[in-house]
Amino acid sequence: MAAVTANGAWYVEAAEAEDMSTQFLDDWNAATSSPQHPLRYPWVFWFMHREPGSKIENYNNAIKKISTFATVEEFWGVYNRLTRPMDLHNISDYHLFKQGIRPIWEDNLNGGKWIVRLKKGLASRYWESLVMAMIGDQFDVGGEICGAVISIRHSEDILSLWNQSADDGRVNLRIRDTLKRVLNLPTNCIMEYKAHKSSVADNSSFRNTDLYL
Amino acid sequence: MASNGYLSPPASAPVAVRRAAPGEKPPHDYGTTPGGTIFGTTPGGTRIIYTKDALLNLSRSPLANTPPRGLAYIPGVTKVAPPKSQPKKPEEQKKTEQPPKKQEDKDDLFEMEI
Repeated sequence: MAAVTANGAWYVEAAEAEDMSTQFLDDWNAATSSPQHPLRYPWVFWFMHREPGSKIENYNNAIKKISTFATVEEFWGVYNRLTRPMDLHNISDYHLFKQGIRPIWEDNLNGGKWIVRLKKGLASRYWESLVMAMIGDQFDVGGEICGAVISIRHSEDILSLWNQSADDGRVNLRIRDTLKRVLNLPTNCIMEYKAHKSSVADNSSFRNTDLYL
Repeated sequence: MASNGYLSPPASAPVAVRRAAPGEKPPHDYGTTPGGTIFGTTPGGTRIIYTKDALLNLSRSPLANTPPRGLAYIPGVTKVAPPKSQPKKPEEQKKTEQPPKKQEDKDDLFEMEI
């Protein structure tokens, strides 16, 4: 266990940390008789598609809920039955959002998203890495993360990661750095950020973004 | 023994101890275990962390291959049998035969605070 020293500092020894996690696993499995591994949050997969050249009349109707999951095992049960992003038709999006948060700008007006543009052919691999980092709670920013999107387009594919507070610079830089780490992006990779308010204003997801190194 | 200066003091095994000031947040990899995190929780039990490797390991368990309940049928997107009203040969080759689902009491087990 983590211990608290006389001056109030906590410390943990690596070997003890291991005991702690396996103990938790054992307790969990004994209590549930179902060897599933809980995630911190329940998540919802969504899908959206529009024909090239067409416009979405009603976003709410266009976006379809695929499934909800709350454990690692349920996640794989769903994920393994989804067509890989690079095999989807153009102008398709997968969204993976926390249960209770809809992937809609207007529902998240204080929020924004990090954007990573991918060459065609890379979408499936990067999407998988991002999804695993997100449900595995690798982003240490409290409840800031809302969800992620992979957008399959004609000439590029775009990965987005939505968070709650577009104006919180410290949180956003932390998210950016974690993104770079989990996606293994080069350090000089250009990252873009766009607040949802701006997206509502110019009715565009990926134009007029702020660039960061 | 050691007083002649030729023998070094017995080496104690290195122990990974990391300290943080009172009230400071734990490091982001607090739950990391030697050889990679299986999963870890932070002192308040707030985070449940899985590394990519841990998730990939769990993808091999039989439960992870159980067809999820309530997976929407979206042609070309979800690999699931179409609704019965429109009988159709299954497009997917191998995933049609699955063990019977065993998830009756699952929903109330995993409700978590958000």
